Amino acid sequence: MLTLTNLGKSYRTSEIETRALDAISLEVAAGEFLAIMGPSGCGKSTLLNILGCLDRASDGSYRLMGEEVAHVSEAKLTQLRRAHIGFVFQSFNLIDDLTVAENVEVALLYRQDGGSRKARIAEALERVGMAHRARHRPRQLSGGQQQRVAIARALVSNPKLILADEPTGNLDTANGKAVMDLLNGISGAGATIIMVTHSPAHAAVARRTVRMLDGRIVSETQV
Amino acid sequence: MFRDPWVTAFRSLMNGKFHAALTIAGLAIGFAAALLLSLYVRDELGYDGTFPADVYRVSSAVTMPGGATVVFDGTDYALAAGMKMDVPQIQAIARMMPQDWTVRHDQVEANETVYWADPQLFSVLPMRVLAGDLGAALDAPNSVVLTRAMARKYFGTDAPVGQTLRFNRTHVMRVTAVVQDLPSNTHLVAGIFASGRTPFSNLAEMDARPAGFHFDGSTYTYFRLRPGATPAAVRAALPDLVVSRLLIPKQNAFGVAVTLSVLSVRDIHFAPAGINAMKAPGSAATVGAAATVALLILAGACVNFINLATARASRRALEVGVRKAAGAGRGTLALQFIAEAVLQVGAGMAVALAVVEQLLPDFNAFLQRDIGFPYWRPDMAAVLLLVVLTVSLLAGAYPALVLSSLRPVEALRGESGHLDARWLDGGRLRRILVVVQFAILTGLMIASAVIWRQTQFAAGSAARLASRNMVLVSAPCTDGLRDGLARLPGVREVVCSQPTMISSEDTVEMMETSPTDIRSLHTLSVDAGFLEAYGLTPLAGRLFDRAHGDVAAPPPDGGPQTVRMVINETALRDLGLHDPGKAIGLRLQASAARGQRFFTIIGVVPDFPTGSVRVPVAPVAYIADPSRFGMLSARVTPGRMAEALAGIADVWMAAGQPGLPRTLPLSLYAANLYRDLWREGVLFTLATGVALAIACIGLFGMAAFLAERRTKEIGIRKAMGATTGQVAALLLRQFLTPVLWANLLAWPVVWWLMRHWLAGFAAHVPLSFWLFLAGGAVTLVVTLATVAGQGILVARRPPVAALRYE
Repeated sequence: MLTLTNLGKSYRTSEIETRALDAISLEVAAGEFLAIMGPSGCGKSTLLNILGCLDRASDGSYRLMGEEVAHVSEAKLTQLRRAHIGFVFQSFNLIDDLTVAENVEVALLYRQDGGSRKARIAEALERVGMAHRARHRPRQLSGGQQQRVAIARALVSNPKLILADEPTGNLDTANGKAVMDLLNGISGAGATIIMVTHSPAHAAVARRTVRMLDGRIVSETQV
Repeated sequence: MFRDPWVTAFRSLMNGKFHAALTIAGLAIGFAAALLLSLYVRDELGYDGTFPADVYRVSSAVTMPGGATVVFDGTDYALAAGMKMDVPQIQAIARMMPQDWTVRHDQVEANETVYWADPQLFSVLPMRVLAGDLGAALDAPNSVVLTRAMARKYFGTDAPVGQTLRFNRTHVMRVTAVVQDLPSNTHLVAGIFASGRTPFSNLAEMDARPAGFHFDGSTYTYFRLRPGATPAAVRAALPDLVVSRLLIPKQNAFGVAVTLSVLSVRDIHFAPAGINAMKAPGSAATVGAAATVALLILAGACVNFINLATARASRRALEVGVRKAAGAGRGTLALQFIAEAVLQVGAGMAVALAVVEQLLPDFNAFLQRDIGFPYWRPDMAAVLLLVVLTVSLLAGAYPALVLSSLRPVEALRGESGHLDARWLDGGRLRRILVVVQFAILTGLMIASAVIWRQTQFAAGSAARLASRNMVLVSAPCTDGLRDGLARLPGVREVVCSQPTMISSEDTVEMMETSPTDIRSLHTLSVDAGFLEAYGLTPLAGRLFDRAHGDVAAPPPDGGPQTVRMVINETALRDLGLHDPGKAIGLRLQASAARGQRFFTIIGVVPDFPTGSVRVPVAPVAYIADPSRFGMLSARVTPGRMAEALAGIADVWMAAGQPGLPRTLPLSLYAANLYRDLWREGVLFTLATGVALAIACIGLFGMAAFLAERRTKEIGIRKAMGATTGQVAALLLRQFLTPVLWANLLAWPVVWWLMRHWLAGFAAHVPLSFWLFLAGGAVTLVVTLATVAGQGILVARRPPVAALRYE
């Protein structure tokens, strides 16, 4: 699915250079469910952003589905995101002015594939159990419900890769478990999922866990 | 405690320098424009305010059979003496009669309009004296009173009392007093007042005439009332005076009716002007429009301020949270935000004062005014201070209320989601304000486009007039003068006529096709070749030809005469005819001399407008009566005007004409005709520019605010695969709705106003629909251009930056 070789990322200001990622090498196969763990500031989110083509690496190689993407243009990155990737964020990132259904639709707006949008949105909402709230605004929902809508949004375009940045970080135990069950189900259906998390219990749901510290991968566990 | 809000407000402004600069610049531009317009309006409304309110002027209207009315700013010279005797309410009355003279002292010589006046003129129209005794200044014949400008022009000093001037190089006149220059906002245009007791003055000559049926409207007559008297008593006495003093019976053989009226000098400026007005009248519509535009610009500046203040508000939520957590109450916070508003508005006003002081000389030169701006005077300063406080409260209240009402928890958490929701729901006022601002902008844009088109239209007809490249020479049409001019190099041809354009002289004759069908036509006497020289070709019939015997004076014995005439299209319609061909050969009879004087139509020409576009073209009958000639039109080869003017001066001297040549290039006359319209056009275009600048500043600030508010949304959309172009389009689209609403709001209002304005012109451009569409389109383009930069900048940011904003 994707291969990282000696990937690095530095942030430069006029005086200092901060190395956020250093010599990351990682291979993820199609259909895998991978968890990334580590303390705050270890580079998890930076890595996830690069994997999601939201950001670019400073050096090294990133091959996504056989294609080298470490140094392609912003427009190309946009195309890749559109074609292959779905996102779930810790803070849900739903647009307040849009309804639940419209928020899900955002993931389809920028794609060319025709098909019945309404049916796909309804189906995605059905899968996360939020169909009955399609006309509500995000503010009217609980945190757990908002995250389920965000997952529906990530699902609706049938991406091959779903990236989740602490999807349970803002949720209570019950809601967190529900979200993990959802992701597990999606993984079972064939999508590749990479998830950043602080919770060992949730990481255990994934079949493979990578631990990071100070921008490097320090250990790996395979179940 | 009270010091704190001001210190904090000042520091806060210094923190956001760019934002503060934008806000203050918007306010300063708005204030400066509104101030200049207000000064103009104040000047217009203060016309003739230097004269006491109980000074009145008598004017007259002469109505011909058939309804045509000629209005004079003056009245008959014989009226004043009768009024003084018959109307006890009048304390003092004085007359002025203009006459052109060539005035000389030493090497300084120029043509001037001299106002021959009764000795008591200055007790009726008080003026500030600089030298001499005004009370007795005009008592003696051959005495003159000069304004300071005239004194400086001829003598180079401010008090040449006792020195002499020569009129037409013969009559010696003694300076007895010097008065302050008249302000620009008075209906009087005079620099030289001379004693009407001078024997060769036209006033003295008129007074020496025997009494009898006549009417002459060229004497300006002013009077003051006794204390406690009202003008109503004078008005009531006027109809009888027409009969008893002017000897015009109510029923007379000519069927004319003379109506006298009385107007306070302070009301003259906005009253319809007579044909011999010293100055073009003011336009209440224009002054009203200027006042409205000043208010609109001020409103625009306020809207701007609110927009920019709220745009910054979301950034200050945290500050509000911290202060509230530290125990600040709502009142304290509101006070701080109001204090900020006062500081900014005050700074804007200070900058505006400096700008206005800088611009005032140019503004005065443009308007030909001497408007002052004594902002340090207590009354003016109080008004300015009031404006600053009112604007601060109006514009500062909304941001202050909203910001100070934030709940500390939300504010501290900085949850933009909650904050944004509040803005959106509570932002209806703000959105309405934006629509109103766009509507003002669109309206001004369309209005100035209409005014500009009308100016161009008028300039076009002025250009047609000027393109003939004529010089008008006011002189008797002697063979010597005419041939002398015609021989000049650069002069193509010279034609004679009755004075027109160069003077207010106008002759109206009553003609009838039958005794019950009387029409009044303006008759203008022109020589053969005149109409051709002005580029007119007959629609039917022919023009004057000496070989046909068309050019003929009335027989000296007063015997019967048939006058041949060429009429214009308006006269054709007035006579109830439509086909020019059918008018040829039509015979009419003069009502004033039935059985003696007849008219035959030999030709019809198109209308030839020589007056302002505000006035309809009059029905004109051109006749060829050499006894009325008093003007020569010399057509000059383009580019040789200066040469021709110099030659004309030589010919003038050689022909023994008194004084300096009286010439007027037609192009100058045409330019003067449209100067006021042109000024209006420029004024409104500038005002529109200012409104545009203010709106752009506001838009820029608001675009920043909205882009910031939507940063998270932009990040999400980009993560979902939206391209930069798609995000930019999204940001721009939110400005389309207000622009569309603004157009719906502005169109009917502007349509109504402009239809009203155009109705003030006899000939005007159509109020085309495409102008409205264009106005809307320009607003849209300007809006998009202003916000596009910001939109694209935000849209280009990498999605991570947007998401990290959280």
